[in-house]
Amino acid sequence: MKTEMLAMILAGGRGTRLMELTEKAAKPAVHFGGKYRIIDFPLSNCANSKIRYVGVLTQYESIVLNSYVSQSSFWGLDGRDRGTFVLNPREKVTGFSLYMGTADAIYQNLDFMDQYNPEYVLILSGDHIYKMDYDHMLDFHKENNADLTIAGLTVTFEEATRFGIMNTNKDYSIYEFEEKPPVPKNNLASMGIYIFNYDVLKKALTEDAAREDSAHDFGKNIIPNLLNEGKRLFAYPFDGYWKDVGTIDSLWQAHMDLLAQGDPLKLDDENWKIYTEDIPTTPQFIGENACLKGSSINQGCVVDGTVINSVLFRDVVIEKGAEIINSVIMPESVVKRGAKLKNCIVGEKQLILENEVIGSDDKIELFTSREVK
Amino acid sequence: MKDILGIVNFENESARIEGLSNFRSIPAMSFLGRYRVVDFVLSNMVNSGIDHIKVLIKDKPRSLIEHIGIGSHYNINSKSGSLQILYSDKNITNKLYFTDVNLLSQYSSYIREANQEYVVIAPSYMICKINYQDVVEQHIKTGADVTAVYKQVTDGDKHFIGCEEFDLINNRVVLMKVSHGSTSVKNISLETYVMHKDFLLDLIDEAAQRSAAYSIGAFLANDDNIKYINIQGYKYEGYLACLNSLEEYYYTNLELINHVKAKELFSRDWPVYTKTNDSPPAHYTPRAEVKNCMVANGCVVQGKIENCILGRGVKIKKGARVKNAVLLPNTIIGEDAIVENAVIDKDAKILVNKEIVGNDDQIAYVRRGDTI
Repeated sequence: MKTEMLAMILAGGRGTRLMELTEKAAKPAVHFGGKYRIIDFPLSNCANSKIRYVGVLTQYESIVLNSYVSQSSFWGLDGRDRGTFVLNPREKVTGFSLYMGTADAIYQNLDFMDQYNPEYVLILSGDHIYKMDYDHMLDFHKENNADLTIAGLTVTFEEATRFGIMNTNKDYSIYEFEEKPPVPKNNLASMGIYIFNYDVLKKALTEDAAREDSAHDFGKNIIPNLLNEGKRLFAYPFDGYWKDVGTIDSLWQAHMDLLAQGDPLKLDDENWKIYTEDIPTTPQFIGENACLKGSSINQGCVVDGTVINSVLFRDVVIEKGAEIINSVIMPESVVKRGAKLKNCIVGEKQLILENEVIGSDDKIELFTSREVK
Repeated sequence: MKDILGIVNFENESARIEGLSNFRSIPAMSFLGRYRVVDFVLSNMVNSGIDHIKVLIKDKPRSLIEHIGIGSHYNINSKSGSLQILYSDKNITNKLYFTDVNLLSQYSSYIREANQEYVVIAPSYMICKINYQDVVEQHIKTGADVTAVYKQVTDGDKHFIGCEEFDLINNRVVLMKVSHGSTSVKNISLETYVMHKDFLLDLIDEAAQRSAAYSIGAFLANDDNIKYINIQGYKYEGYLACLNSLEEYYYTNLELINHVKAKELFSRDWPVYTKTNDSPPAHYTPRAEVKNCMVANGCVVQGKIENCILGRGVKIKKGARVKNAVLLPNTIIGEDAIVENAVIDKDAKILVNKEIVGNDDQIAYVRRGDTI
């Protein structure tokens, strides 16, 4: 079977601003949405878009992520002509080098991509939360006879200073790409989702690799170079929910978004499920003293306290009299009687003691300092 | 640890869950929201280190086969383990002859060829948490022909009606008879037997020759056979329920909402495996009121629920009030509807303002896919 489009997911970054949450696992492995890990989103999008081969480029603290991603059956990507492939930096004839930038990471895996000889390559980031049909984006790419198509999100002009901004013509062809412009001319931001014609990508990466002054980065180097060469670059406008959960605040906010009326991510859409690891748990028990309002609660939780506007991951225990407000509690954590949590993210397997009070109205608190024994 | 062959038997012929049984076999029925009945016996086997399992299917195979598949979700080794389905349409029209003995004798070569020395035979409608290794260990120690598992219950006058009960003398089973609920304390059979593989093969041969209507249980219970077959009892002391009627199905579901009770059946070191549906966590809106419930993923609760089991993907709309009810997957309870003392079958819809109210003597039942 011919491979039309291959996906490569960049999942090597630490996500330093997620603090202790990424101490032992890279950002794409961070828990999200009561049940998932962040990387489930791009992987499920690939599976739902009928992409059959997905390479995942990992680097920082990759034990959890590598073993997770290699279980291709989680996303239905197992089978004869399908698969997920963990691509760690590796020793080669030319020596050993870490991935020195997004473009370098892909460049170092040209041999992997060559095996499948794809017509197009989809490059994604492993740390964004959204649902997208990449097949529609590919149609758009083909219709425009483009060399490179970049998915774009409309942001405010204020936010635009933090993104790669695409200045486009009416037909969405890109005439200028500005990385984090202090004074943006447009507010169409790159989502870090690229479809390249493989031959164009291969040539661009090879040339870039030879340049010593390059940062080997798609936004800073590859895209501006292709524009200079007069290649056809198009922006693919996306208007769904998209979130970079790169900080404690944004991770918390994205969970609050999920709880808002008419969940913008539509996690219950039967036609575009987000797949994840299936861990056997006990059922979810709601006790007689429970009070649940506006919350999302996963399998295995035992709740006998008050949970308001919060997300509980698998196997969380909330004892009688405990009160959880506007908080996110990750798998297997236990909140004892009378404890009060407000505006918190509690990490995995944490113990909150009886009558302990954590969190305030002023800021989002991350709690990771006491493991359940 | 002994290498054991597991055989999941079907339930005895009097078991019938009124309403639900029209659509699927008991092992395939939804149970406690996210499980199917068969998940419990299969998980017991897998957790007991049994990696070769044969599942006997009586009728309506579609739903069960779809659920158990090749068994990878039960943690059965995908190469060295096996999960085999034994089903036959021979005798399907004649219920009298559709017995475990007939089915096993048709497929006796598969039993003969198995590498395991000992066999555990257990039905799926006996809900329990049991380590079969312990039963095999006792079996070897006593040198019995058959070891039969039982539980001494104290509520035999209310439950387990239609199940078998044992009389034991010095731990040997001397009488097996149908329980009619006359006394409260009795030894209820789990219909779970351990025997040597060769003993099973001989038993099947002999039973099949003597009568085409024999089941394993009936053959063992026969007055003459019980005299010369050394059947030793294995006393099980954990949680037990038998899902052999609509009342028992309903009662057992509701009984296990109590977390303390449920701990007798569920523990972290004895997982109950099932097939995932990839549905998102259960969602409770700001107006939800929830008390004493067991809720599966994919549910959206906007109304009030108390003492309920919610299967996957159940929707409780605004203003709806549901109490003492078992809702099977994907049922929808419309706005301001009232449901009490009821079992609502899969995919059924209760429309706006409707009332479905049963009572303790007569549980209300809404058929699969019906709109009311």
